[in-house]
Amino acid sequence: MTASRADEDSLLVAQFLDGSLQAFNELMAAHEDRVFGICLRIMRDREAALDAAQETFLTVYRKAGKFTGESAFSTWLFRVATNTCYDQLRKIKRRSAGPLPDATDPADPQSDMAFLAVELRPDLQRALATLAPEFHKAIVLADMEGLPLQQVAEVLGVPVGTIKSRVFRARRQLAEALRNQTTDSERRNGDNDA
Amino acid sequence: MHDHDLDLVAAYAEGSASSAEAERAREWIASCEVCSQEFNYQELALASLGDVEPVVLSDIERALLHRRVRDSIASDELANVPEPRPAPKSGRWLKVLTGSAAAVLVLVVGFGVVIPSFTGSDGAADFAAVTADTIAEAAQAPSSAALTANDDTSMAADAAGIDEMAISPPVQALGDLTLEDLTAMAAPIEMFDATDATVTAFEEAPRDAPLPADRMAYNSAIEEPLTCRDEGLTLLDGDVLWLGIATLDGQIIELYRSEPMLLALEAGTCTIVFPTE
Repeated sequence: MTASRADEDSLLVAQFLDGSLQAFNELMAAHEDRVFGICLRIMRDREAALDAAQETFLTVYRKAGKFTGESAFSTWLFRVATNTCYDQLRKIKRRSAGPLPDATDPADPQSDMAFLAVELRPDLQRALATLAPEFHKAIVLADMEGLPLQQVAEVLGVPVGTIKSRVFRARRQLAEALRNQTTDSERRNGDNDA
Repeated sequence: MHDHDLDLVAAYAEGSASSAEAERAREWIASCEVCSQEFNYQELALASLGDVEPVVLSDIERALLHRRVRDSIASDELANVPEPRPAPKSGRWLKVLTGSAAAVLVLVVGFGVVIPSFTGSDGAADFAAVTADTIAEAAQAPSSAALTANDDTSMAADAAGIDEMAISPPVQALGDLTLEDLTAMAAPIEMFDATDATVTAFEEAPRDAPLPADRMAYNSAIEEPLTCRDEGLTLLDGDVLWLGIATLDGQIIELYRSEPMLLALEAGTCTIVFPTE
């Protein structure tokens, strides 16, 4: 995030708090793709991500007064988005009494729809689904959305060193999961050949 | 037990290690199987994640997101307006409007069209009644062409506020905004057309009713073709939700909600009636 973007956001937030709905509109336009991206990476479904993005911006609309300005607006916004997504995942879990999608609900390996839903390679999507939530969040924000580690740390409310370590460990687990898929696939092919 | 720092190897793999750290990492990778494997894992993950494309909302998703947020905000505002605003604020809007008394106010707000028709000092009340009637009609026929939005909950919320809005809706809805404020928000604003029609009610038009040629020409000039057979929202450059068509005294009209108006007005007064000649 550039300084000018942060400055612009600060100005827009101030204008919005003064009653300018146009300012809110501009804030939303500036960040909606990134927010949707974060939501999609976490929710793994475009419709669910759209719902989460909607809820995120409504939360911003309703609670902008609670934004203290100590961090960048985008940091606060991404925190709201991340929390919203996990709240919604918890609700889904409660409704279905099933596992959290990002932890133990890998996509159907044969499903093209899973790929289309999040625009990721299916093997990568499956590997991501094996990550624990704290690792998943870190890798989504740092590696998939490209946020600086300092901002990821602020979004998730943990020290930057912790985030760095989580990102490294997440990558390691991701690679292991990718390797395991390759190994399983080779084993299946070997069985078929025999 | 392995006593090398795997995070340092990972930092080397992503290129964030200092030169001294990188030197150490290279030694470990060359001599230590665990470190070598860690390096390979980190490289594999980085290569896989490097292929990930940024996510962008599709046009339809963007439109849906805007609409849902706007509608929710409108519902919030409606729920939070238990009483009409006091008279002084009402007068502000009246003053603006009666300045063009006996004339027809025609605004193209962005791509949205607002055509209140006023004939004197009672014009605002007329418009209020017209708007409320229009919405009331729409609310009674939620499946009609006049209400083809995908999510009708907002219109239901609109309808729920009709009784209150009918008293002094434009005033109440605009709050502190003046016409100048609205104009500034909605630039560019331009004069488009004029009509002396006073809209009092409407009835559902056939879904496939053709629009008059001048309207079609106007629509084409604005943006992508806007046909009267589209279901749900039709988006004009992200600014207008086209809700449907209807007939009024034998004339075809279109119902619009424009983004600037949606932001400025509360639910209930932002259904805009455009009589086509």
